[in-house]
Amino acid sequence: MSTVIPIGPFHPLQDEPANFLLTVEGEKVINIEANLGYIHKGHELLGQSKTYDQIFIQTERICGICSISHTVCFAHAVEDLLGIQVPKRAAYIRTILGELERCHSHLLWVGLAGHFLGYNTVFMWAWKYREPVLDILEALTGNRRTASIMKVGGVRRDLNEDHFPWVLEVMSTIRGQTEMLLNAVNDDPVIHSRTKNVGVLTYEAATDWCVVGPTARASGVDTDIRRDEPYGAYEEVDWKVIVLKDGDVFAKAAVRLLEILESVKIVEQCVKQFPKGPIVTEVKHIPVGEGIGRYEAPRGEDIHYVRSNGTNMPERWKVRAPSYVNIPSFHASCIGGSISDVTITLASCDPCYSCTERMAAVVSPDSRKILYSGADLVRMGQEKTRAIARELGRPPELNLKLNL
Amino acid sequence: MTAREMMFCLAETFPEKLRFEAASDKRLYVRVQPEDLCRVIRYVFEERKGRLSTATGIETREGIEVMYHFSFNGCPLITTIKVTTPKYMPELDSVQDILKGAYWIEREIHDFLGVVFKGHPKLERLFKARNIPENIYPLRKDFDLKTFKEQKGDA
Repeated sequence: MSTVIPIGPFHPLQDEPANFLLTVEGEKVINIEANLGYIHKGHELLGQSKTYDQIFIQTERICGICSISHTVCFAHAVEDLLGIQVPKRAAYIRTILGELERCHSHLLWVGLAGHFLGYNTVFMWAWKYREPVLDILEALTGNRRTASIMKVGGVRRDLNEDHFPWVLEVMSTIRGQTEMLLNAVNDDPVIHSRTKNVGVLTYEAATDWCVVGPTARASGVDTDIRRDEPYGAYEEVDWKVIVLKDGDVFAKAAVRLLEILESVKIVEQCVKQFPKGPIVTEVKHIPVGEGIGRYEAPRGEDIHYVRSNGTNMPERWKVRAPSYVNIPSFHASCIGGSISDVTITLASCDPCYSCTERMAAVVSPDSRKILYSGADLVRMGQEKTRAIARELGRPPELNLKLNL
Repeated sequence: MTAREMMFCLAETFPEKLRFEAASDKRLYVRVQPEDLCRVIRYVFEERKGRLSTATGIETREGIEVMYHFSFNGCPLITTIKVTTPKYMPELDSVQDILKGAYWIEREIHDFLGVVFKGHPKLERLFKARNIPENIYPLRKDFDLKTFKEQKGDA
């Protein structure tokens, strides 16, 4: 006897809309089907009637979290079409902003993951640590998000170097805080039993579903656009790609936490060796042709394709965000698991649709009566953690010790 | 692997079947005939360990062009496999059984350009809104937003 459980159209975990139909037998998930398009914005069609400069402003509106990723990726596509290089200073500015974006995006995810597991201290602390990063972005670009700073051939505005001592100070604080979170996650047996071997995405499934970013790197797939097709300042700074083998939720969390440390390292080096010079290569005309740009966004590889017909508007502009390939991998990672683990498994690849309000319901197929709401699903996940904690004789909150 | 090496590999495996277009050393564009599509994609995915980044559909004068962009872990190359299908009956073989990563993108191209992927297990709506009829394809050149809105009565 199997039951179909709809989750959504608004996702139970993130404030974003997607409808997942789970088919369950008892507690076990046997099939999952995603149903999307609730907020399809038609960016690709809209982009065909905008000039290249206008598209940069539009591109930022694709995603609030990855606004720098998408604009740089579009710039890469047009620069590939033109065959030009950006000046060194512009490359450094793009790298610094991109890595700050990665820091804040990963901290946001760590907070959410803590909340879904029932550790609300982690949620509040991680979001508190994220605030100074957004303050830096505001000081450097004028806005917390949607900086409107990219253009073809470089950047629009220069960074004010007076802020750099403060940036270094914040970065070293974040290193300490991330190490503390990492130790807390590593030492806690409840988190181990709740996330280890849960929602496993094997290496074979990861290559078959063509997943990217931290989701792929947690399954042992060695992929990172920052190293594979170096752009910005990544060739000139010392950093490494984090690859783990297990493919479970624990590995995905560990990859993200370790990547924050790498981002901190990259920002510190970039700030210290920030070069002088022009910030833009002037572009007069965009010829007929096609170009592909790639960028390592916080969630994985971003790819934009641009075909130009010689006018000031593109003939076709294709956008593929990393979650587009990461979300279908739920077919491989959710099936066979328990329904109370679905929420954290769905959250583990950091799905990003776009932002709107939250609402979810689980409906009984016979009576059409609402059995569980989205909040109930989160509560089920949190209760499971508490039960394990009781069994192991652990306190209900994570043991956080900050050494500053 | 550079674009040139990839070009030699493909030309050797599929003699006189493929046409290579202007390439830099990081970008390779390959044009294939619809009947060779599955074999070429199987070769790039299984033998060359390509990762399907995405596919792009576009309407051109000759027909509807579908481009499969393959990335390779560890090198900057992107190989794009281009195939054109006629406008009056756009049909291609589904590559979903070779690599599952094509599961969504084929549905999306079907939504917006009306290409039928033969052999896809669930070629249903993915992103197209429920109030757009099945035979209206928003990314085709004959789609006019203004006329569409007037017909719908929400202009």
